[in-house]
Parts: sequence; C-alpha cells; structure tokens
Amino acid sequence: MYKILVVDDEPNIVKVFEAFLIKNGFEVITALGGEKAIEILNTDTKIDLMVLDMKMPKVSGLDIINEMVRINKKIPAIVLTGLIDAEKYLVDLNKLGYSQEDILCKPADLFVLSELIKKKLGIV
Amino acid sequence: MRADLRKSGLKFSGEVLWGTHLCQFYQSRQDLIETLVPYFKQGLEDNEFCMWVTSAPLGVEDAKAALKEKVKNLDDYIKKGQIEILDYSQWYTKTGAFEADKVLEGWVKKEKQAIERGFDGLRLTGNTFWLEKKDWNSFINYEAIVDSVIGQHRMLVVCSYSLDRCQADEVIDVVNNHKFACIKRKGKWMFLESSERKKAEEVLRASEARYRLLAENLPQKIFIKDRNSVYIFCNKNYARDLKIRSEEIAGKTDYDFYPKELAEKYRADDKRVMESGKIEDIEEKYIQDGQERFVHTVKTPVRDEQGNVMGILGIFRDITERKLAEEALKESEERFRAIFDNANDVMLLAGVETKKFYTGNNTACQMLGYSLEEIKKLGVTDIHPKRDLPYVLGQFERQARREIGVAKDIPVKRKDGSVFYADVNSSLVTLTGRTYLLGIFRDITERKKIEETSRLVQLGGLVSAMAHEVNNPLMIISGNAQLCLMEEIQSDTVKNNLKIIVEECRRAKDIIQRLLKFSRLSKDEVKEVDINKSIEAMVSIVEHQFKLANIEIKRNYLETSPLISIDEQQMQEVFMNLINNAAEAMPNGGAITITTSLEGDFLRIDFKDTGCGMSEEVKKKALEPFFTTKEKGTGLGLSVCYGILKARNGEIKFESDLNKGATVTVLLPLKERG
Repeated sequence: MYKILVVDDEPNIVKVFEAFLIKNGFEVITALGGEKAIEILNTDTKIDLMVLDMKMPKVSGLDIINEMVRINKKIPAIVLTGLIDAEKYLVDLNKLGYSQEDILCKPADLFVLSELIKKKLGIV
Repeated sequence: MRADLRKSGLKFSGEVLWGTHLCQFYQSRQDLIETLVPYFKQGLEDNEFCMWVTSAPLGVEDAKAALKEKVKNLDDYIKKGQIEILDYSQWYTKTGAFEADKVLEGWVKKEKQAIERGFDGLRLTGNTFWLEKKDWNSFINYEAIVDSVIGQHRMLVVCSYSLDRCQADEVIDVVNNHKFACIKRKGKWMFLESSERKKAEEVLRASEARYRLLAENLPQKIFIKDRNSVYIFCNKNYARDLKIRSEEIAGKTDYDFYPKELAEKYRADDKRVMESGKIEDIEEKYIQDGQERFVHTVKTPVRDEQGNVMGILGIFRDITERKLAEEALKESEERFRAIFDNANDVMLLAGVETKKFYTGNNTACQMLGYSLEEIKKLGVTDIHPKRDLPYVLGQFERQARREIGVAKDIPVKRKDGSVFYADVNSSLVTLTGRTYLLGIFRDITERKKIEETSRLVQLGGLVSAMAHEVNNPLMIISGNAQLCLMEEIQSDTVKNNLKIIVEECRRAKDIIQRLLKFSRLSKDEVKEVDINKSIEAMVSIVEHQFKLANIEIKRNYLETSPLISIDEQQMQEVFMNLINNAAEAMPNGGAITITTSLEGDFLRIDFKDTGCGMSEEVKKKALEPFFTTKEKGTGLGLSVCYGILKARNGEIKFESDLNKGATVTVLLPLKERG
C-alpha cells in the first residue's frame, strides 16, 4: 500500500483529500501546514508521494521544496497551486525533477488527481 | 488795412469796401465838383483805374479843369491811361439807346483790363442827367443789377442824380438800389439810408454776427479757401494753431504753415473736392507745435449762387486723444484676446437669457471643430448630446444663479458628433449691459482615462487577491461533492445536484483563472515580435473551427511586417479575445477582416466583423470589468485586453453601428515611448 503525504493549511481540504485517497486505497498521512510537513518529511522514510499546496502561511510549499533539495529527499509530488503561480515555481520544482505535468490547479478535479497519482506511482 | 478796403475820398464816407455802390443827389455843378474831384484824386493816388462819365451840367472839359485844379499832374495820369473822362454818349448810349446788359458788360471788361494792367481795381462815376423819362425804368433795373453784382468786383461806383429831375418815388427807387445815398442840404452833405436797406443790413449784420459767433465758438477749426487754395478766412481756433491772428490768414496758403509734403497733400485734397464737388471726410495727420496730431477733416466745396465751385470750406477737429485712446483700447483688446485665445481651456461666453454664444476662444474652435463664425451662431444646446441637455441646462441655470461654480463631467459634443468630457468653471460677466456666463471648459478626457486605468489596476489587485482566497473554498465544495458522488446514492436528483455543484465549481475556476490573468499584467516578457506572424499564429488555431461555423477570415496584412516590442503571450491573448468576440458577434456566419497598417508612430490592427455591431451603450461600457453581452461571458476579456494594451502605451477603440458590424482597432506604439 502506497503512503501519501497530504500537505495543506486548510483542514477541510486536508480532510477531502484524505477521505478521497483512502477511498482509492491509499494510506494517508496529513500535515496541516508547512512546519508539520517538514517534520514528517525529515522523520518518515516511508512516504511514496506528496500532495503539496504551494500557498501556505509561514512555511510555504516553496520552503518545503527547498528543504527537500537541502536534505536531498526525492519523492514524487503533485503540486497544487493557482495557474499563474505555477509558472513562477517551475524553476524550483525542476530542481526535484518535477515538471509542468506535476502541477494541478486548485480547485482540482479529484478524478484527475487520482489518475495523476496512479501515473506517478506506476499503478496501471 | 484790409486789401479790399479803399479810401473813398468822400467826406461823408471815409473808407469803403470794393464793391460799394453809392449815389448822390446834386443840385448844382458845384455839388458834383465837391464830391467827384476828391473821389478821383484819391483813386488816382491809390493806383486805381478811374472812369468819369460826364453829363450836363458838368461836361468833359469842365470836369478835367476841375480835377486838374486839385490834381496837378492829371495830364500824366491821362497819358498813362489811368483815367478816362468821357461823355455819357460815349458810354451809356453808344449804340443810340441805353442797353443795360452791354453797359454792365463794359464795366466788368474795364475792371478786368484795369487789373490786368496792374491797377488795384476800377473807380467810376456816371451822371444820369441825360436819362430820359422813357429810359428811367430800364435804368433803375440796370442799377438794381449793378448793385447785386458789384459786390463781387473790385469796383467803386458813384452814381449822380439831379435832384431837380427826380420825383419823390424816383428818389426812393434810387436810394433802394445803392448802398449809400447822399445829398447836400443847407450846404451840408448828409447820408440818406433806405429803411429797407437798413433793415436788410441789420439782419445781415445779425446773421453775420451769429455765424461769426458760431465759427469762433465751435471746438472745430474752420477755414475757407478760394479756388486756388488760398486762405480767405479762418476762425480763431485755427489761427491759434497757426500762431497768427485770424485776420492775417487772407492771402496765405498751406505752404506758409506746413511742411511741403503736407501742404501738397492738403492742396491735392482741396483740388479733388473742388473738382468732384463732393464733400469729403478725411482722417489725416497734422502738425501742431511740431508735434504730429491726428485730425478729422470735412472738406466741403463752396459754391456761388449759380452753383459754381468758388472755393473750399474746411472744418476739422483734433482727434489725437480719441485716436490714442482707440489705439490703447485696440492694444488692450488684442492683449486680452491673445490671453483668451491662447488659454489651454475652451472658453465660451453665452448669454444668460438667450444661451447663445457671444464669442469663444481659439481652443474652443479647435476642440469643438467649429469656426468662430459658426460658434457665434450656436448656443448651449448645440454643443451637448441631446440626452444630456436637461442635466447640462440645469447646471447652466445653477451657474447663472451662482449656486455652483464648477459643473463636473459635462459631456461636450463636437461638430463631428464625437464627445469629450469637461469640467466647466463659470463666472458671470457683464458686457455693454448684458450678462453673460463665461464657461471655462477643462478637458478631462485624459484625466478620466487615467482614473479609469488606475481604477482598473486597483480592481486587478483586488480580483487577484480574491481569486486566491476563493480557490480553497471552491476546492472544498467541489472535493466534498465529488466525495459524495463516490458514495452509493439512491436518489438521481441528489446525484444530479452534486454533479451540478462540481460542474459549477469548474466554471467558477475558469472565471478565477481569467481574473488572475487580468491581475498579472505587470509581468512583462517584452521582446521584438513579428506582428503578422503573431496574429497569424492565433488565426491558425481558430480558422478551422470558424470555417465550420461559416466564418471566413480575411487577411489584409502589411507586406513588411513591422517588428514591435511586446509581450507576445499577452498580445496573443488580446488577439484571441478580439477574434473570438468578432466570431461570437456573428452566430449566423460572416467574415472577419484583419488589417495591419501604420498610423503615425503606431501600428494599427483592425478586427472588422460583419456581425450584430455595438450600441453606444455597449461601446461605452465595453472595457468595464464584468460587463458582458454574452450569456456565459465573464465580462473580463476586453478588460484584460485594455489592461495589456495600456501597459504597452497602446490603445483600443471601437467603431460600430448597431447591426452593421463592428471594427475593433488596436494601436501599438512602434517605438517605446520614453
């Protein structure tokens, strides 16, 4: 069973993703906000994929990306952001091997999200 | 002594003027000698030509002898031809009978010869002793004529009548026809004056005094010149200017007082007036005390009783002060006109009651597109759009009542029908008793544009912030609905409703994405772009799809595509928007013509469609965010275009008539403006 980390500062969003991903047969660990996410990333070695919201107060999605670059932690991720902002993050996302394809715009279609996750994890 | 005043030599008369006609009544030879000898003595001494026509009782020889007694060198005078003493038959009845015309002609001829020969004039006497009763009446007529014409001649005439041969009524006839009459009574010479003559003289004297009073008291300067422009008379006012006494003017000419040039001009004016016989009104230069002055002169030809021009009457007035005041006024008027005309604001002066324009400045002409003449025929109601008139006139009235000073945002209609907006500052002005409202129109079109732009920029920031905030709740709504749909749901209605929630969230997402585009305008990636290629890239995307909708795209590009510095992605957004709008205006198909051309420092791109067109209302609001005519439009397409173009110092314009298609024009600066 694949373990997915969901990072968002909004509890209701975290809940939606969590419920949806569990329904789709994934193990889900959630982080409400960036600080918590960094803590998990530093301790939990069994995370297969991360669903990451870029726009968060205090520690943002970009901070998390940079931390991952720093600790050389490379895991697949689906980045959630506004369409316009996606472009400006692209350079940083590239550092971890993420591309335009890995970006989803909020509000994301959950079906599209699950398809993308499956593709990333190589589940047919 | 005046040139025309002569010594008569007569005891009773002293000095007389040329043209004096006297008569004497005598009773004896001695009477005749007593008067006529001193009379001629004086004439000979004063260089006058003398003629003595004798008759009984004092014939030619007696007369000569009597005169010689007093004038020792009489023979010299006779030899010189200064005096002729002859018998009446050699003069009055030369042709056998008395003919008044011929006799009179004879005198005038003699006078002329005398003057030609260098004498001052003619002094004569005639005795009427020869006169028969039958000739009396015609002679009296002759005397009347002599009396009336002699005044114009250099002649002195003494007519001698024998008292013994005159009846009382005849004496009256004689006296009436002469200026003076004298008679010797009781050894003394006395004057006889006719009461009619006296009365006429009194009237004449009174009239002369009146005219003199008038001439002397008028502020005008007055002169009379003869046919040769020689002064005869002037009033004191003029004499003062010439620094002479008025009596001294006779015989002088303009050359005596003025520089040659000016004198010549005056003479030429005199000549012209006398020749044409018409009164002339002349404003001219004049020298007084060595200073240049301006005078207003009226020159009138002077005529004799027969209507012949005898000379010229000049009346003039110094108008230097008035002229200077006029010039000062003109200069002041010009100065104010220049300020008025050069003001950057439109200035119009309108009657408070009539609301018609009295005048306007240059800027008014330029801004409104009318000439000044046209403006003067217009009124307030002609320069504002009809539908705004109630408001505009209301503001006008309030300004006229001084309730408000500035009327804001007043739409002003040009001659070509286009409209600009102005703040109108007003003040009441009174000119020649009428009250006008002076309106100073400040064109606020630019300011409005700037306000509009900054409003849009502010709105853009707001929209962007809002879009971000709305994303998350949308995500939650949509996500939860999708989660619900994954449950076993029995009710189709609930299922359907959940699907609608998801669907509408997607639409909201689209709107937000467009809003975000609208707000990200500051992000520039400017590079040189081949504009034809850039447009063509967009056209090629939609062309196939348009063909299916029966929409043709016509290309009318510049041959050499200009390179232009723009953010291509943004600009393509603009092109795409405009092309799509054009297509959406033609639900039943049509054509879109895309034209690129150069217009001054701008590249012009026209997107012309054959669709439903735009109403005035739509044109006015087209750029406002959230304004849309489409069923499911966001109202942001053109706002985005406007924002993009403004950021590049570009323009967007609409030209359309309802149901006749629309042309949307994009102007992009060829060179980046400083």
